Amino acid sequence: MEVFEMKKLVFILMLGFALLSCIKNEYEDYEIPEHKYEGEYEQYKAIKVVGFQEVDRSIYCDLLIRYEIDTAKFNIHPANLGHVVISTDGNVLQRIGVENTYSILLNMCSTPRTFELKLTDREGYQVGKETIAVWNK
Amino acid sequence: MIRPIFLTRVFLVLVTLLVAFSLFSQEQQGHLMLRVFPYDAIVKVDGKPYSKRGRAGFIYLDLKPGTHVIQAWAPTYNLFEKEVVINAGDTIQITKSLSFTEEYIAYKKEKRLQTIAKVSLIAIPSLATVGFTAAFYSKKTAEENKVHEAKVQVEVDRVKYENSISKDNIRITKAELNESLNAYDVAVDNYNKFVTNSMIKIGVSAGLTAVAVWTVSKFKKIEYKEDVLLSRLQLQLNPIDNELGLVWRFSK
Repeated sequence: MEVFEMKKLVFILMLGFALLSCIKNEYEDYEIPEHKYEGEYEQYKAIKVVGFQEVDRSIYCDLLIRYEIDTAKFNIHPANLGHVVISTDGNVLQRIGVENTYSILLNMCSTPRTFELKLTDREGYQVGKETIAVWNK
Repeated sequence: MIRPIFLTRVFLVLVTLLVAFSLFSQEQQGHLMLRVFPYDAIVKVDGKPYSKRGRAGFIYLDLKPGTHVIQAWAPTYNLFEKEVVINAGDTIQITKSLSFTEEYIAYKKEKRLQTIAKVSLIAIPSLATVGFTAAFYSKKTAEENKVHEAKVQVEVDRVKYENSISKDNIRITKAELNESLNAYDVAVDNYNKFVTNSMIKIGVSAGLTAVAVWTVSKFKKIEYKEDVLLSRLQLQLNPIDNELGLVWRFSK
């Protein structure tokens, strides 16, 4: 085969490949985007205790605790806020919905106590650091 | 002075002799029934061509008693020559099938082989090109649908992931999105491989077709040539203007 004809053949083949490559669809590449609420919660205090108040001094002496929830510094979706968990000496006393900002702790005002308040999300993960509140009559 | 009655007798004797002679001369001829295959073969008897055939393809000839030379020939056939002795009143019937010449048989064989080679050379890559192209277009939609389905799944999982607000849910939907992205990548890879493989197959077979066509065009042209052993060419007077010209008398 002469050189000229070989060149023609190669040209025709390359043209064929080029034409065929046009029929190939190009599909985009996807990447998983970063999720805003994906990372760990920041280690700030999410609950600020406003104060205590004795509400029933008769037999049991109940204690009213008021607090504020501040999630401004946290990267948490508002709908993912779960509960405020109040515990003392390692025992969970109450699990209160975030729509409430106070709680009545039954029969707790007679002796000094240390309360631990934690904010959790809907899946039970702790949001920020716990807040320690001391009741000293 | 010759008498009229004498003349009448002489006339009657002459007429009788003439009739007897004509009858005698008819009985003196022999008959030849000649049939040659193929029917369009050129047939000559004593060098004179005969083409008019009668019943069952026979040429009927009345010939003088004696030796006659029969010749028959047709293009691509061997020349047939035969001497026949015909006696008065005899009818000789000859049927002859001409045989192909060895050169023509060899030519046909070579031609057939070349035709097979040409058809094979061109048909195989051409059919492969058509087949690969048809296979490509018949499967292309299915392959695209696989990618489309994978893409739709990615979109669904991406929305789930983006709408997740809690840690575990984000982790689960992210894993699902990751899985569907992998499936999508596999589907795209498979599609790309499918297109590339088809492209190579179609391209190579088309290239081979081009090479085959080029090769076939370079094949030696096989021709069959032979000498014309008998001809129907005759010098004849044109019946319209009486000019002398060559006439090719040929009947199929």
